[in-house]
Amino acid sequence: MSVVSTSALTRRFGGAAAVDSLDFEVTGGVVGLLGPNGSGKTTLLRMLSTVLSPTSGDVSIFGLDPSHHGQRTDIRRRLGYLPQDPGFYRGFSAFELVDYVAVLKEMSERSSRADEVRRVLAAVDLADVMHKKIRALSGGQRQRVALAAAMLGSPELLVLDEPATGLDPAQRLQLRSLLSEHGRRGTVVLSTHHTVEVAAFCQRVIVMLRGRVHFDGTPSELAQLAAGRVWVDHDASAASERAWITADGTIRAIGDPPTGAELVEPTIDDGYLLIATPGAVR
Amino acid sequence: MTAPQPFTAPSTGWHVASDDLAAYVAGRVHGVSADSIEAHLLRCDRCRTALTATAGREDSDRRWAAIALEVDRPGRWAHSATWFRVAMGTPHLAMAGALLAALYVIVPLVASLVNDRATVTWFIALAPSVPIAAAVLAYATAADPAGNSGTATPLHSFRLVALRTALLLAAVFPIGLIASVLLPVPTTLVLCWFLPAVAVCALVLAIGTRHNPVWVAGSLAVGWAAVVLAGFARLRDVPLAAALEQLSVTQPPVQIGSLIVAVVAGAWFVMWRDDVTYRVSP
Repeated sequence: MSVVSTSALTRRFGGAAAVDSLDFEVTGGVVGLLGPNGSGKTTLLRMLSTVLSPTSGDVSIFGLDPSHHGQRTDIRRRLGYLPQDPGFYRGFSAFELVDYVAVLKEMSERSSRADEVRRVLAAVDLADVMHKKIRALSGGQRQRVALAAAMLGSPELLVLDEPATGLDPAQRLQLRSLLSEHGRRGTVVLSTHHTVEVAAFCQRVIVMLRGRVHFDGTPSELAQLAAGRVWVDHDASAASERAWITADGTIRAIGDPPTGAELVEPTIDDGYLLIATPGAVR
Repeated sequence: MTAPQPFTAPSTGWHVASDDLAAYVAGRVHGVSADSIEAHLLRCDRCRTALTATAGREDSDRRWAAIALEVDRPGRWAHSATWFRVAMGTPHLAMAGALLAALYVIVPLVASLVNDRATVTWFIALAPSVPIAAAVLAYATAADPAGNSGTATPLHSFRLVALRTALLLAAVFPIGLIASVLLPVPTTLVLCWFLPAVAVCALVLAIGTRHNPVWVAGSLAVGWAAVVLAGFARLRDVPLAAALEQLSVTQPPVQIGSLIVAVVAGAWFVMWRDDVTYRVSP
């Protein structure tokens, strides 16, 4: 059964369509949304998390209709949402803030609520600082506080808008492990700018551009899109418009290769750039 | 002093420098640096031993007890009842509640003591609209920095505004009642706003299922204020105390009518709550 299903899903702001006639289905695992700024990722995630209504089209979560109040409440009981800009009460401790969100998640029994708050804060490695005021926490720690709030109650669906923002490499590794584990039991839909994150632990990747889906497949399929279109060169003048100097001094280029070019194995980054960069495909 | 390392990297083998420890014992370390040292001391035997050597056994035991108490101390909200956390669990709500309580006691008291007609007029004109305005404004995105973290929770919707409004009214009414007994304030002045306030709140919630609640609240507030101002204008030659008793809004028909409106609008809100639009965030 579909966890998420959309049909001609559209959201307009004024005359512009942030999400334009989107049809897709998610049945489980970790799904990564890739796309440049303004591609509609956040708008889509807000609709999936029931905080924004579509202008037209349908969205169904767990087979329920979020436009219906009763069903929307049922959906919210089963999902966790990390917004792009979570916001904090700086005078609250990490424990207090997550506990407040737990109250909003209808966890009314104080003792079990406190246990759950401690569990999620420990899961994001904040057990040591749970009683510190948020104003004293670093950006990465604050991001983990918001992530902990989203994970309250082990929701069946986690909707995460750029969860890796502000995290250092070690914390990103921990995030991958955490979300992979969650993806085995439930569903995670996340947006990111980092193709590395998608390649590392997403079973499926969706590339959005101007509100539409331009690719939907596995990370390796995205990489293979660029097969035969990535080459290295030693002469900058002969390279494509989409080219850069790599760490070893060679030039890596994407596009239509010149005759005799030294083709290399494409990465997911190459596949994404081929789709997302205007002019990469001639 | 040397800045302490982050908490999340205990494996780096960092320990509090002896100079820093001496400064800490002497009370010269404050803020984030003191927090860092205390968090580290909680889990580092070596630094606790060094602290003992630096401060002396008795002083160290006393200091250690104080540290444990401070770091493990739950925040001021942690032991509050769940309903209190929902109603007053954020700084803005707590402030709104305190201001409301003060408003409904201090303004009538001052107006009575100075026998000021204008203050009484504006108090009755505006008082019924203040509770719903406080609840709606505290819920608004601009006033609730952490609101985004809870947007996709079951309780975070118009239901939350309704609950908060009801709790604010329930908290403010007894205060007004007590004030009317203990203070030299006319009972009519202290209590005449209450049933109209319940009616205004219920109407905003009911009509807000179909229309923008801010516009609904604004229209009702203006309408009520116009009736009150017109009533006082008609009684401008009557002394203030007598005018209060003769004013149409303090008479049984308006008070009973307000109660009926509140019941009908409350029932309408419950029946049509499915039509509540999503919260619109920026």
